[in-house]
Amino acid sequence: MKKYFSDVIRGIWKENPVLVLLLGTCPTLALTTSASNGVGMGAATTFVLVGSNLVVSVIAGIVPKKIRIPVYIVVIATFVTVVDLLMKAYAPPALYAALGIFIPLIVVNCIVLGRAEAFASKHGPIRAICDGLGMGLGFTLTLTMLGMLREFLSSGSVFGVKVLTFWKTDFMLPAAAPGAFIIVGVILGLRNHLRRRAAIRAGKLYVPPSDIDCDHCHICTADKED
Amino acid sequence: MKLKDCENFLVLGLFLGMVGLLSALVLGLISNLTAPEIAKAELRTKSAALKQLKLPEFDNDPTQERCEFDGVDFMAVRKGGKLVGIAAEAETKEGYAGKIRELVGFLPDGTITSVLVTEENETPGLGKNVCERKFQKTIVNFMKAAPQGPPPNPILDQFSGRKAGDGTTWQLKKDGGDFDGKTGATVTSRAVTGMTGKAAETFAAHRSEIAEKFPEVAK
Repeated sequence: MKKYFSDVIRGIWKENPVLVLLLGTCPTLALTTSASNGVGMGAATTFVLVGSNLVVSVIAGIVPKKIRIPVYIVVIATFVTVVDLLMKAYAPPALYAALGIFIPLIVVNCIVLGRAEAFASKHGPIRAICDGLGMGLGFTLTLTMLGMLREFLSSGSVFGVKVLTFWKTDFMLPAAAPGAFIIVGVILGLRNHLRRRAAIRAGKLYVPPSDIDCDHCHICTADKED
Repeated sequence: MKLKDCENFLVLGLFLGMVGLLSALVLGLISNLTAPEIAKAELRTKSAALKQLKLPEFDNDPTQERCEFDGVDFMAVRKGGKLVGIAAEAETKEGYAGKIRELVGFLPDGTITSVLVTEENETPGLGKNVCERKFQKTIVNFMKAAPQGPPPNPILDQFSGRKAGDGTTWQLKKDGGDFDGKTGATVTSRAVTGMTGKAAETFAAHRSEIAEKFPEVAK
């Protein structure tokens, strides 16, 4: 039971797909202009992640190794098309208009294929679902947070409701692409700084999570080796 | 030999084909199930947009009765079978970020009632402000319902009451025309103005043909 729980939690903070794994940066930067966009994109990706993780973990035993990637892509593409059709039918028109062209791009979102290959194909269906849920939730929470931040900084509103009523003219930088890079960069730096300080306080050398392969890079550990 | 370690390309191809076939089956099923809902949703969006055009009250479905001239799509708006207006759908590729589509409401005599941009991809904060009719919710009023009718937009509202042939030049003031643009969003303002002008002038130029289709239009 604890294992499943930690599978879910891991995606939210310790291996957050956007802030730690740095996957799915395209939708992260392009779509977080408002908080509601973040929620919509996150929900769509979560659905695809859970579905594809489940199917991949079930079929991983019989898929020939040589063609596993194309098979996973077919599975993912199927789920993405299902999401596309469902959103077209039931989502609010404004949300679909904003997310429209990015929904088909979930197919090439590295988080989905990454989790299928790195986790779902090696674990059972229930753990795969937990992992998909955790990763999806982590993605959704991060996108929503970023969307709220960018929306607030650019127009003083949150979820389309203006909080700072005196803010008449939109401030463009946070809503534009360069602003997205700057804000994500600042958040990443802040997170790394906090993790490192916590590690030093605890008297431990900061070691990146072992299943994220950053052994080739010594930025994180260079100043602590002596 | 286990399927997992199989290297025979025929088996591999067949396997991939089967997976593709299965996914096509699933997609066909879902597509069939959602098709009516999607059609309904599209119609809802369109009729919601048509209701925003400040046209006289109507009770037909304007998308059912339409004709096209020079890339502008005209739809008949009726109440009790009588023509009360024309809705035109125009499109331009001159936007700052590609295509802009808009709906223009005309009275039967060619006067523009209102303009509504239905599709755009302009820069947030600049070009978007030219296109958007949005009621701004604030913490003071977000519990109250939005006021009736389309929210105002200083650029789009300039077109209301104009018609082709009354001496209007469909250009921005800085280009020698009659309309204000928005500072910092000249390209978008120019595109919207030009597109609205094109819709109005097409309506005037093809009046007799439109009149043949919808007999109540005065020639």
